[in-house]
Amino acid sequence: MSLTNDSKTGLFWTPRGGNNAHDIWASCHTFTSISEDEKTKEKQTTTIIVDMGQHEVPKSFSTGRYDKVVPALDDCLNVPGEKTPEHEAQAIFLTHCHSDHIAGIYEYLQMGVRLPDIYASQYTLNALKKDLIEKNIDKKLWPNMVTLEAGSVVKIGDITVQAYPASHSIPGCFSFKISNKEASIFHSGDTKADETSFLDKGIDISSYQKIAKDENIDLMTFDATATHLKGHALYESEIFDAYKKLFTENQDRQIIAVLPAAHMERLASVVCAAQASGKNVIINGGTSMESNILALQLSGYDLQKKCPDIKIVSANTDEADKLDPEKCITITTGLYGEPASPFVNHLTGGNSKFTMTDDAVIIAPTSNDNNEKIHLLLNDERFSKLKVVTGKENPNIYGSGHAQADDFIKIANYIRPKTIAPIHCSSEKADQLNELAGKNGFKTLDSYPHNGSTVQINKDRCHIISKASPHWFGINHYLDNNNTMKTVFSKVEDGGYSTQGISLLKKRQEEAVKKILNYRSKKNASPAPFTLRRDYGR
Amino acid sequence: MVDKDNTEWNNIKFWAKALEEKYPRTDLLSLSDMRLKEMLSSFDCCNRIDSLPTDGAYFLALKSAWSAVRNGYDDRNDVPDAYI
Repeated sequence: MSLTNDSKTGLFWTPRGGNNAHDIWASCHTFTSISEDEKTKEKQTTTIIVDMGQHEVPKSFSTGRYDKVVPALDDCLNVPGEKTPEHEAQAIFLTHCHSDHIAGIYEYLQMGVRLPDIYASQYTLNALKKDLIEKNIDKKLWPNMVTLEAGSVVKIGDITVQAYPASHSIPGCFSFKISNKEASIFHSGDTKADETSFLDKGIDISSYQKIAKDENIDLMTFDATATHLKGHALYESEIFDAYKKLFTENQDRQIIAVLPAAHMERLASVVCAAQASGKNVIINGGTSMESNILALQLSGYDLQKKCPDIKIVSANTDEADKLDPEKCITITTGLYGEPASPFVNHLTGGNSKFTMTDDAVIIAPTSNDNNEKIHLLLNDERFSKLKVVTGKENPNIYGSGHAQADDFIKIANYIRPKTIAPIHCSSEKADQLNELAGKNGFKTLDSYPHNGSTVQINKDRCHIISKASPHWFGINHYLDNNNTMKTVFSKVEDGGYSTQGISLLKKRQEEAVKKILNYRSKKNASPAPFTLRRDYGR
Repeated sequence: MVDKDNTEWNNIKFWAKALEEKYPRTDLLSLSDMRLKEMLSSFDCCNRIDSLPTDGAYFLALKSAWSAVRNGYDDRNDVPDAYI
């Protein structure tokens, strides 16, 4: 829905991506304030964008025709070839730097769109700049970037945005309080209720208590990725304790800790546990992990300064060669069986330089996720002397960066919002969070605000005022005859990606079936078999 | 040999390879931005292109690209990070 000058005054929220039917890709939200000048009665409209993600598996979207897929924001950004919007967005706020939250920025810039100022943490902005450089996007096209700290307050037109520290799997994450004169929203971003980060400070309960004391939050949009799971997402301090115990119990063996390459919070917890056990650390995680550690350093998170009692070195260096692997923790990647992981490459007989003793202890925090493959690779006679510890036997080594049920209850009880709305989840998980919220005494919206829905937020009521089917931009990149990268894009219908789209598509299919049967009965045709398309564009 | 057609600073993959060829067995990840600037400035063609970027993110991108050259692969897009 496009909010226009004819719309009523108020604060409005429209999820554009991330609130999908079956997955969480492409997080993107717009928040609009429409107010009226008391004297002139003129209306003022302010729109901000929070996160600009992209679909991380574009080949699963719309029959796989596109290299990239991003939420269509042509109603608030001036996109070449599309109608000029009545009101352009005045700022972009980023909760954190995961690609499903920021990678749409690169696509919009390559589509020739001039973006408004971007507000985010130093870590997020450094990651963004690095990617802009890697993608060779002309610096003249870069938007202005403004660094936010926890507690920063920014006024954009009629909207005030305040940043609150969030706890996720990387540093520099924010939740945002977004307010105008009439209402306030707390937008969680990706978060859990952890106060024990070894990189940042985790969430700040006192700031939540202040929100509850001073101001009423009318709507809290909350990360429902994992709130269907009971208990809480393990705190980093609990993970630290579990690793320290394993390191201490296996003092005389080489220990290989397998981690997701981008989980920098976990890496910091494991490195700190190594120091507490008196073990040096060798990082052998390939380019992905090395790149993430460099990004930490650039943003002032120096693990070596945090752990001065041990050596933390990169593999394949002279310094690493001087260390005895049996007295070290080797941190690597490969949980998902990534073929380019040095550890996976070693296990599968590749030529990557990876030192593993016959009786090493492998700590692999798998969680029974179907994507995890490392335990399957290790289930081989060649590795019979290895000791393998997975999340199945030792659940205390696994913890998601997303809130579970108790995290939600804890945060909601501190903030005390009037209404809860799920974000960053499938329809099924949204229903589960709504049920959980209801059981804990919180109001919820009438239905899941999937992509394209617009919610009006008032002091006395939050309700969905529109359920428009969203659109997307499907994008392809190619090299022209001069070896210059070119970008072509087109606006794509939702095609069943979001909830309402599926019901619309089903309705159309049912109508089509009726028409065919009607045609056949009139023609007295024999009932030849036919097949319906069942993929709904996914 | 440095190809003058490729000597824009933002062609970081090119510079990562050039550095690896000229400074083999040097761990670029452990070097300061200042040292990297000196190493880049040592290429003859540098006089003919604009001044070197000073943003720390540039050297972060360069080190990441060099890591991929040294490791022989770039695994940065292997796993979506949305669920972690």
